[in-house]
Amino acid sequence: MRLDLIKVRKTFNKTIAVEDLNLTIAKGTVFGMVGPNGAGKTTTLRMIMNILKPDSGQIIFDGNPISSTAISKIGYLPEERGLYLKANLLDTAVYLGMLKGLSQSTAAEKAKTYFHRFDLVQYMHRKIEELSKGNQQKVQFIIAILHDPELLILDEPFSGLDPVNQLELKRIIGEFHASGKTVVFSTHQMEQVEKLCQDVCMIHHGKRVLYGNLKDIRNEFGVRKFRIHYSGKQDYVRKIAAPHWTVTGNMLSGELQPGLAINDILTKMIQHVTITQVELEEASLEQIFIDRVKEAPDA
Amino acid sequence: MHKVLIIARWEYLTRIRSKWFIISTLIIPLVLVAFMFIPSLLVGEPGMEMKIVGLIDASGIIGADFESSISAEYRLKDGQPKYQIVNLSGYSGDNALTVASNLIDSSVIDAYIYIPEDILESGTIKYYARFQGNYRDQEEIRRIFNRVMLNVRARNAGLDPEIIHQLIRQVNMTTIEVGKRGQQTETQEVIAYVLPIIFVLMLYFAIVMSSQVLMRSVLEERSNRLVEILLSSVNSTQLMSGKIIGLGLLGLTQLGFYLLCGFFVSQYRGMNIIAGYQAAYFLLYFGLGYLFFSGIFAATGAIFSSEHDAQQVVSIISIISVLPILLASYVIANPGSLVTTILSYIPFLTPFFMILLIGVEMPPVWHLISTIALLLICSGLTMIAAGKIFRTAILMYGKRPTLTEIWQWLKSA
Repeated sequence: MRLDLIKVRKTFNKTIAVEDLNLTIAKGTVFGMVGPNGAGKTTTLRMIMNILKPDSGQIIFDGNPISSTAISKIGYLPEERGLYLKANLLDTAVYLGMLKGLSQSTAAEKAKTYFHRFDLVQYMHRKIEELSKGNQQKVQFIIAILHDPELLILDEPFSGLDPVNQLELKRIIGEFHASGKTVVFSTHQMEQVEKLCQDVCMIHHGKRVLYGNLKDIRNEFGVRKFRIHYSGKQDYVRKIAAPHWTVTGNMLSGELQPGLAINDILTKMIQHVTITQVELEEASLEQIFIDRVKEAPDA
Repeated sequence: MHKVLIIARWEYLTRIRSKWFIISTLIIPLVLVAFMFIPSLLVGEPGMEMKIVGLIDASGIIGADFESSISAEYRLKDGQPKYQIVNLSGYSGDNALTVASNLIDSSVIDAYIYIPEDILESGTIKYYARFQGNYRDQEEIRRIFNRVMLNVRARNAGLDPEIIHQLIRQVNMTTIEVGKRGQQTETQEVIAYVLPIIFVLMLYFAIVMSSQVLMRSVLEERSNRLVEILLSSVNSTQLMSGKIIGLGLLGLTQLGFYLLCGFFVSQYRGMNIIAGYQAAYFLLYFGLGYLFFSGIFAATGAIFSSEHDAQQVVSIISIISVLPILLASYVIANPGSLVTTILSYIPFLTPFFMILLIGVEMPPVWHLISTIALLLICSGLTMIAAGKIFRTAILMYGKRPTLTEIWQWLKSA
């Protein structure tokens, strides 16, 4: 499994929703698509699902342009979720499974297995409207994974879930990932990405502002805060401090700009003062995002 | 199984099982049967019930004659006279009227008749009843009075009443329909008039109802957002075709049921209601009419986000297509007129008008072929246009497209 987006562009009337987006999603990753509301995440995911056609650019799945055969290997949980309220749970799952190419008997068999796993088996022959919101969301998730997709695309999967179900969903995503599958999900909550993803793409106004391995991004763009506690004369410490750092009688604090390692500062200080304690604080993804958006030309 | 067929099967099975469909399918034949039979039931079959009628004969001339004539003429099924006459002539003047009114009030008698003293000059009697709706009773009483009065007048003029009756006997007319190949069938006049209208009503319900179910189904998937899951499995053309096929079969099932009902009724009543070729045309015009309307309704469902918004468009289309029912009596009276022919070429009306015409009198072959061709072309065009609108509008939320935008979608490839 490999998914490539090459210079994908989509406009609605005169608004550019997605502008020349390049992405590669490799097998076995959990890929986070982040950005504020209206950034173009849903449009991008809909183009991957072949629901919308890009105005230009290409979406390549396993080396071929996206097609109905490719789509049948992808599971999709849209942001706006709903079900046939009057229909029976099993019938609905079988119907939507068959549309993904499963036979009627396989779809029924798989649906029953998942209903067991998700504690829904007692509702199997009930109407969907009789189910609680949380259970309906489980059903939607089951429908997305029923055909055993190689790639699972979840659009804002955590929105509207209570904390218990959020935890449950994280566990399921984790399991799905552990079985060698690929997961792409979009969110505007950065902390979800920090907890779950290896790779990340940040979109703002339809443009890619950050992209790559989460750790690399942190190293490259993450401004980290540091606090070095010391004992000794502060005159020398003042000499080596950058202008925006703060020096007090026993502490030097500030932000580590990219390219400057904490060791560089420590090496200089250690010759004149005694280091008593070092604190390093990783920048949050949110902070990185805000910084990047500020730097972006048309933001 | 092909995905279009999976969708068609789902739409068909979920709707056909719904209570709503079963009730609406059953209710139409029931209403029609009710319309056909209730009026005659209300008037009452002869021989069902004895009527007690008071009689006040102020003239003293014809009362006795009337009494014996009416009990001899109208009898119940068990042979008893239908009218039991209670002679109240013994009471004097206004007193008799008061007594009679009281008797009606206490439901002892159903009605009473007052014969004035000057009956020979005025020729007018009075019929008093609580309800004046029973035309059959009134007609029977009037007939007997006419006969009795004629007898009296004839005798007064020195003529033999029997001869007079012979002389003024009315002419009866039997109507015979001349069909193809000189085949002649005696018509039951009412049936010949009502049947085409019933056909049109059935066609109307089958077409407009299945198209509206289609629209509702599109609207439902739009509002519960399932459309996105569906479109991640099939493309919009497959989705629309699946729905149109599934719900078309639903309409066909309904129509088949109606035709079957018609067949059994005609067998049971020994009437020749539907010929085989008529049923075939019926299905053909249903198919074409449904394709035409379903495209419009599918596009409407895709454009609007709630049934409430869509209702405006639906009511306009429904009003246009209800025209054939309003115009039915004109078409039945003038099947060959220019106006009828011109109206039959308006696609909204074509299927209904043609079914009406086929029911009245088989239209010429060129008329059949040209209307079928017209419907084929028009439904093809609505399908293409609906497909374009459906594809673009189905995922648009929040803002209803303007007519200019819709026009641009239609122009784009």
